[in-house]
Amino acid sequence: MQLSHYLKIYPYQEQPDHLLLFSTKQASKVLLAKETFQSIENGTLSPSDEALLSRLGMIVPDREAEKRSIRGLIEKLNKKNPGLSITVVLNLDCNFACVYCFEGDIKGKLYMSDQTAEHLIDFIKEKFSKHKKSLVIDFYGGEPLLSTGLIKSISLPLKSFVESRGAAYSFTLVTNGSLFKRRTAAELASLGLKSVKITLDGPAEIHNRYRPFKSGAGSFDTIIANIKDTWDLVKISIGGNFDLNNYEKFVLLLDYLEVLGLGPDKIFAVKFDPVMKPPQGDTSTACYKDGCMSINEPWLIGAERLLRKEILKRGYYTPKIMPMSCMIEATDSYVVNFDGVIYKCPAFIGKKGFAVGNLQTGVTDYADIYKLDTWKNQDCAGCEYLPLCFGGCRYMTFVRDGNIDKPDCKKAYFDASLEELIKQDIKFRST
Amino acid sequence: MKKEKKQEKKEIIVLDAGINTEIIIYGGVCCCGPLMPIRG
Repeated sequence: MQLSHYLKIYPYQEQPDHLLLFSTKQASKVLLAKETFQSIENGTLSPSDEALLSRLGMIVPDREAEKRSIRGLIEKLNKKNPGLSITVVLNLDCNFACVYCFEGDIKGKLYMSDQTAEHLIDFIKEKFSKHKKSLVIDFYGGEPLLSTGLIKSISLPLKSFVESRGAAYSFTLVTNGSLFKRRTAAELASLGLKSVKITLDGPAEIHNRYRPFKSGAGSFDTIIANIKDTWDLVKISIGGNFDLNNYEKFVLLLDYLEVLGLGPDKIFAVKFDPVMKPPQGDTSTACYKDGCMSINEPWLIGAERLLRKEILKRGYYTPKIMPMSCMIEATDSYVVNFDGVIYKCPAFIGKKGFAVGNLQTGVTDYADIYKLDTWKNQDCAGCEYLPLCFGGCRYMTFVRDGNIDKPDCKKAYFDASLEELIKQDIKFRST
Repeated sequence: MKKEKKQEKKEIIVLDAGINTEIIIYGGVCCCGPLMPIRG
């Protein structure tokens, strides 16, 4: 047996006679006595240890075969995927005027029509093949709660259709949270609403500057009041978009949530992400000059490390370091814009050349449009981080290069961050 | 005897078994997060 190609080995200060091993393909973690590690290299590992480390993906019979297997993993996932996932952009209208909104140049009083909603229902029914076990719709905007009527008229027939097949229907909302009142939450929960992602950009003084109502008034207090009123009805995840100038203040938001009693027992998850710069040529966010163009930017390493630690320290759930891919890789995942045009990622809606079809004519071959094989090259094949990124975020590449011809390489980021992030998971999580 | 010795020294401590690559599935839309998790 050989060490897996997708293995990172780090020192472990708390037990200096052990090494910390992390499998990037299985997200497994072990502490291994240095002596035992030596016996892997010598080929003298005991059969029971060999079986255990093999099961955890740490050792493999053939590294080249393992690389081929990872290359085919996305295809394998797509063949077995029991779910259908549809992101529905109900409108491109919003009651907020966020300074960095990436939809800034395409927003307006643009709403999905009843006829398009009917076409959407037909499209989903057609895509929901017999072996599917779940349908998840992510209602998106603009602000999806400006289209509550549509959420109901789309959910009702689909819930009934999916359940008649013995499968599960659920939906989520990516919302600014200002319209998420208890009555609305209760009504939508009965139709299958499972979770809501609400954005808070740090404490009130910062959030209100970055995410004001269109009138200019602050939105922070309204959102907090809504979260307090609805946490018992649906899972609420808090997201936040930080930049170089404000990320340290996000810790104050976590403190405030605790003061309000909105601890990990009430908030399902917390995750903060950097604001991305608008793509070249986008003039809608002309006043906003910050944001990142790559996850490899040095300031992001410290920012993420700090914020993740503060989140975990307080007992909130935030995603573990695990295999991930861009959502465009998932075959049974589509984004339907308000006008019925279909994309593969919500960040690309309205971007010329990234539509893959429409509700009436169906989906065309999009392998080249979204450069599905961009990570199937020599460099990525040799990279031990491949399962954690599979070519990374296509939109990040688009922001940086104006096209998605190359992968969004995260190697520098993982080289600088992964050890610390894994050690955070060990320190602050019970499992 | 060997087993006992191993338990005392804890040669391998499994901190996280991770995901089972035979049953992993996509974890849902990333929506404003950078990437979509593949869950076990």
